[in-house]
Amino acid sequence: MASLEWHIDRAGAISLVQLAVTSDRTARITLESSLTPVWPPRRRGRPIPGWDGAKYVGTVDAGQRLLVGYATPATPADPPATLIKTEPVDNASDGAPNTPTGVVQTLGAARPARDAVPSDQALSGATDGRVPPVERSAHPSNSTDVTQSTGEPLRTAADADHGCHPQSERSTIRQTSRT
Amino acid sequence: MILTVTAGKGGVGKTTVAYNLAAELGAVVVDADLGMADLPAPAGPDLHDVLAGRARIMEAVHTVSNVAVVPCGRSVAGLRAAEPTRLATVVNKLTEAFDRVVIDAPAGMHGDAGVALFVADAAVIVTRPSRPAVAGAIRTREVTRLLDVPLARVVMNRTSAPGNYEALAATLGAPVTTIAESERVRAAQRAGVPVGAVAPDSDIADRFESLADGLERAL
Repeated sequence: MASLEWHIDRAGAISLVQLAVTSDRTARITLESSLTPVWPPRRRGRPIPGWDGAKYVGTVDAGQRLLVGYATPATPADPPATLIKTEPVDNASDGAPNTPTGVVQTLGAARPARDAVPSDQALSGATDGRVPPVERSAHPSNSTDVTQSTGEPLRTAADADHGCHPQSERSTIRQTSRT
Repeated sequence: MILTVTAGKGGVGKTTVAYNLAAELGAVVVDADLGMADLPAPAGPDLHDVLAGRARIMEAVHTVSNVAVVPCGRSVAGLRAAEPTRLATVVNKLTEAFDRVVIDAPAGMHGDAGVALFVADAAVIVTRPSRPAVAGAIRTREVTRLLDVPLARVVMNRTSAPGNYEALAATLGAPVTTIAESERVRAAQRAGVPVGAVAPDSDIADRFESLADGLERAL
């Protein structure tokens, strides 16, 4: 049987959700946040393994705690997430990635930083407005659009690289449920 | 059959091996070295465009000296726009039109190199008889083990004298094929053609043919 405990910190308009899953036997669990959108921790610009939208899939070892955290702009709810699936597993995974996204998450992306790509404004200044077609198609007019066009959302308070954890205006909710 | 040619560091002749191997195997060769492309690149859609969702993969297949090539763009903007995880879908799509696909992977161990290996049925590691190049080959072998990709062959490229590579073969767990330093290979590469096209009866062309035959038997 798996059980879920939760703890919510409020930091301004952001809810920082901490979940702890325990189980008396090794299990593969699926959590779903009722608070959306979910801003999961990111590593090298991508959500850490396990997250897919508002759902998180992970493995909790027998007698251990699986800790899951994320941020959300939603108002705290009770509970913030639920265990929607628990499957016993006999053998723990060897950790090898099994999807292309998992490979990139494990090994790290080799893309150039956003700042390495000149904006259209910079190109216009350098070329008197004559922007090569391929550059125009790859880069919308400002840096924010570049971020969105490449499918990488802006970093959030849940960004693991920065470890952002505001201290102001905190409130706490702590609960437990079992499945 | 999807064969990924990879290396631990650049400059060991990985692209030369991939291109000549594809010519011998009658395969399409994909330049998946997204940041340091080196295969001949005719005008038209390339892999950057495909991975950015701007072109379909079959639009990016070109023929260069009777070898089917999917070239890759050279721009930082194209690299930034390309989504490396799409390579798996793209290569699988290619196998609907080609029985054999050779991927020229990026050197190193980042995610784009990993995806090029992840999609492969088997890998070929190219190295040179130098300490950094062999160290890179050993590190790359660890990535193939992590991703559970069989290593079909190690190519000790640009050798200047006969050597004994039994210890390397034992360490990496695959036979080692040596290919000697050759002006004919450099000339063919400069011309953008396989060495078999410019010197079909040469020893060096025979080595690539032998490498391809060995891989066909192994796979």
